[in-house]
Amino acid sequence: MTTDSPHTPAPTEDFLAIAGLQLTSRVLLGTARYPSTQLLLDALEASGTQLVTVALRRVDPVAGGTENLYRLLVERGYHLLPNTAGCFTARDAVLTAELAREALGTSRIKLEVIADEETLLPDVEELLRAAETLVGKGFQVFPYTNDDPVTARKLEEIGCVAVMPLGAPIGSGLGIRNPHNIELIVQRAHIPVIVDAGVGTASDVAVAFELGVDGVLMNTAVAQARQPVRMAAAMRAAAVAGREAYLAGRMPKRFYAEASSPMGGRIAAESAAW
Amino acid sequence: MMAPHTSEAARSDPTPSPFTGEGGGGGLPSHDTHTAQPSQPLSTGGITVTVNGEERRLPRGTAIATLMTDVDTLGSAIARNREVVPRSHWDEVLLTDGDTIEVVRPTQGG
Repeated sequence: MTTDSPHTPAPTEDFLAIAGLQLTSRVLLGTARYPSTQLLLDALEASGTQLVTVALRRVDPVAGGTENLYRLLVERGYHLLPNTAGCFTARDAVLTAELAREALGTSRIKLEVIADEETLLPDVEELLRAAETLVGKGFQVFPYTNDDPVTARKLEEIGCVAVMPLGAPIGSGLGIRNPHNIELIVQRAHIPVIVDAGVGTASDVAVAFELGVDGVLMNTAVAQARQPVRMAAAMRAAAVAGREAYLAGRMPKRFYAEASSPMGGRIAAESAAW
Repeated sequence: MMAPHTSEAARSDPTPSPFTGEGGGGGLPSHDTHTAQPSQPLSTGGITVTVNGEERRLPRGTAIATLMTDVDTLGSAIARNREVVPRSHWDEVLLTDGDTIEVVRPTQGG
């Protein structure tokens, strides 16, 4: 039990409460782009994640027979967060969300409305429109958005259950490009903030948590690592390290050095050369 | 590449399906929902429906559930003319000529 401060929970009591879930892991993991299904399942386990994203795509009703990812994931007890990836309009995103709710029996939806295929950046106008519609239809909306504090606030006012600013473009692995904006979003939000997209390696995850975010959602950084399972474990450790550092409260930054060792009691010293 | 579009005029154009990387699907007018009635003889002719972007000829009186007989349907969902058909209605809702059907399932995604 920590004695540091009544406001910082001990690691064992530090849950992410979101959309009716109480998650002990703050890592959210995507399920795409792994070299094999077995590596995906092993990586999910190594990451410690409890909430994983899936896309909705056409089933070939004739061929059938393909592996049912949904079955694999629910059998292992993961909570699912279906996404609206691939949607360019609010209208498509809303239909995809409705299909996801019917298919998975969850009203959680990772809302993605993309402006173009080159950047995969959010189309904020369509995003806000879709978020408003979906909240009105009773969805628990997790919007993927720019690292823009104004948009984040609007999404919260609409009634989203979380806000998910990007660290950098999807699949870029460039890390947290604008830590000040992420920090600003965190400071002003009353709902969980989850960095979604842009993480490339473990230090990026640690940085995000040190800024105070509540969760990190990643995919490519794990799936496309040379050893995905090992990277998943690294991300798990980084999340814990970053979160603990945030709760511990880092020392203030200074422009000049400050000696760690006491200056008193030294041997007689010559004065500095200049 | 499709530009983002929001105007009503643009929306009536065929739009890329969110469920594939390519275009297809969408664009057809809506039809009223027909619920189960005594099945009609096949001799009254077939219907053409678009299932996941592919046209299929089917006997008149085919229920939506028929589309799913070969599939592990756990986690599947169906939209008919951009309206979700709840699983509990798959047996009752009959396909109509010109219907556009999307059959989707969770798959790998980020």
